[in-house]
Amino acid sequence: MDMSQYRGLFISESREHLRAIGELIVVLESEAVDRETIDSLFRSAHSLKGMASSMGYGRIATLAHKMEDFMDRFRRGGEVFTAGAADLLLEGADLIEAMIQDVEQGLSGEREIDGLLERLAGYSAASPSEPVVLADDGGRLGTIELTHPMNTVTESGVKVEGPKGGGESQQTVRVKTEVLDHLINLTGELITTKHRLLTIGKDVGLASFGDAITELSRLLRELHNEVVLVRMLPFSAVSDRFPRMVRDLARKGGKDAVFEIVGKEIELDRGILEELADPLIHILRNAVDHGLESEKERLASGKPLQGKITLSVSREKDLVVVTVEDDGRGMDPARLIATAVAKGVIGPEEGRLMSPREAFLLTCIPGFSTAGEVTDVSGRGVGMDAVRSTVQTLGGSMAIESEKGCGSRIILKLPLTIAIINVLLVTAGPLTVAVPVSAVMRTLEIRRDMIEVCDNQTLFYLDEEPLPLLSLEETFGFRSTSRSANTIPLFVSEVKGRKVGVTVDRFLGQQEVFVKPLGSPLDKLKGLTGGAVLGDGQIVFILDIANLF
Amino acid sequence: MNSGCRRFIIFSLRGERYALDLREVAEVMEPPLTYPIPRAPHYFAGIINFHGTLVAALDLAMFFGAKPGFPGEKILVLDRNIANLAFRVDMVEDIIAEETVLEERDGSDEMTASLLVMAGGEVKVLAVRHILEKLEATING
Repeated sequence: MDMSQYRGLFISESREHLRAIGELIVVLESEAVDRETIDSLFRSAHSLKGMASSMGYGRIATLAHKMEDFMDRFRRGGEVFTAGAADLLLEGADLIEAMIQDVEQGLSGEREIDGLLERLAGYSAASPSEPVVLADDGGRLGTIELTHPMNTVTESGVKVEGPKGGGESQQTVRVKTEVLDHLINLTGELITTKHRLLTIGKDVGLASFGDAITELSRLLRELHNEVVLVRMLPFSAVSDRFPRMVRDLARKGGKDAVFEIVGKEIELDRGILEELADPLIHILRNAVDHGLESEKERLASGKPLQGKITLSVSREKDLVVVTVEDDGRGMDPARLIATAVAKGVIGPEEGRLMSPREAFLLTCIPGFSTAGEVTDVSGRGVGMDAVRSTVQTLGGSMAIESEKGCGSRIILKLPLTIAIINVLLVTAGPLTVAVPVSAVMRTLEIRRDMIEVCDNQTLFYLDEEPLPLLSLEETFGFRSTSRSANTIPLFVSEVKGRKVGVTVDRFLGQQEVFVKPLGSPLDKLKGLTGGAVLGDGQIVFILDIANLF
Repeated sequence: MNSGCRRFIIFSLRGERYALDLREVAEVMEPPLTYPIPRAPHYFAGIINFHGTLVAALDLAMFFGAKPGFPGEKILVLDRNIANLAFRVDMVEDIIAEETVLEERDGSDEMTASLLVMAGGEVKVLAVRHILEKLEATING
């Protein structure tokens, strides 16, 4: 029988099982767990074995089978589950993933497994580190929330039944991710066309035309909502890999950390989730590598030896708030400012005026790093700038809170959906450009006599706070005309961790736009994140304020 | 016509003849409405809406160092798999099949993929990927 037609299904389902296995092993290692959790682990290994066997992938089936045997030693034999045991099982999961990758590329899926099989067979808990005893029954769950470990999400973006099956199998289908992308793109184009019709409607002046556009707008809103809904994935689609990652990083750094995820069921647009994975990996790496202290250091400061990192997700109106919090050493704003001044990133006077909140955002300036030593996981002075840039490109914002000796908190606020965002349209010289509303803290007009010059820097006072003034026209290479007017429109935003006022010629208003990617070579041009077509056909660029000046 | 046969589109820039492999070109069009690109080098003529995709239009003559002044008559939009890029050129002369080429020599510089020797003279075939690399490397000044 030709099984190749089932290969895609085998690959995606195997990966679901591997994800579950990885997550459950980390839970097992963290704390005592109940019987249900260990049974789930068994079910995944068993299903993997069965599927691989029926597809003829003998080595995958053999390895899964031996891992199942190995797990049985802890379930029936009452052996303690050590970090060493977890390492072996995770290594097995990684090897199976590698073989599945081979299968995906049309290879045989046969790799050398004998060495690992020998180590599994010869394993003894001779040097247990932090052994974990499996509870007989009713043991409490680990700190990682595992609401439905077997109901997971495929790469194609649609919920599927877990291996246990259930009564809802008729209600779910697999859909290719490209179809979902095409749907949101078409919706975006329709919204652009609606704005075009609105522009025409103003010229035509027919009441019935206006009514039709109002109805079209209502239907489009409904369509947009529905399309957004089918694109939604739970946060767990990206976060499932993090417990394993944090565990490995902590072990590598000789640290003991407990990792908790709260709100993994909260749903976001798959486009945002995809973009969010790398920034979160970077933030978590920083938290383990630089945030958490060594055991010795924690002991000296009277903290529990085990560090804690929490990744939490919550909804706040139309935004999703993702927070990474650690109870580590925190950051010292004075040290950050001193480093920035020493590196010439900011002037001494600028540093003196900086608030702690602004000082923490200095870590987002390219090349800025206070890490005493560079490790292979973080501290290279790259990363946080990319994190912030990604978040802003998605139409979100980032804030950092920290207290020396107590820990840090990175807060990302993101829209629920991608591609269609609200922008503020402004003119600068002959150009009309769009500023994501998420990057605008405030808009206002100031009188010319409110502008002061201090150390060659023009600034104005906003609620007694001095804000440097930057001109969008001059940045674009035009001669500034706004400075000769009596009143100057500006918006307040953040550049290099500092609040600034950005002067423009005119505010044209707010509008939702469909963000089109720029592609090569314009995607290399600093300060632009995308483009959009307005109702009159005009193309406007969407500015990346943080990287424009 | 044999679809496996290479074909070239021949165009001119300030009196010189150049060519592109036709497989790299998605469409030849009249110059559409362009909008300025903030902070882009002067040889970018602007951005255009090409069937819903945003594409940067490059004034190829100016990119090669010519002075501004002669707005090109045609736009050659590159295949989207290569880049979101179009070349503004002076004139499109012809589309020729490889068989009509007397000889194909190696390019004399990094922007030239090869040199076509034809009955009417020599034509430089542009190395699109090198042009793109140079654009990306120099776009921020």
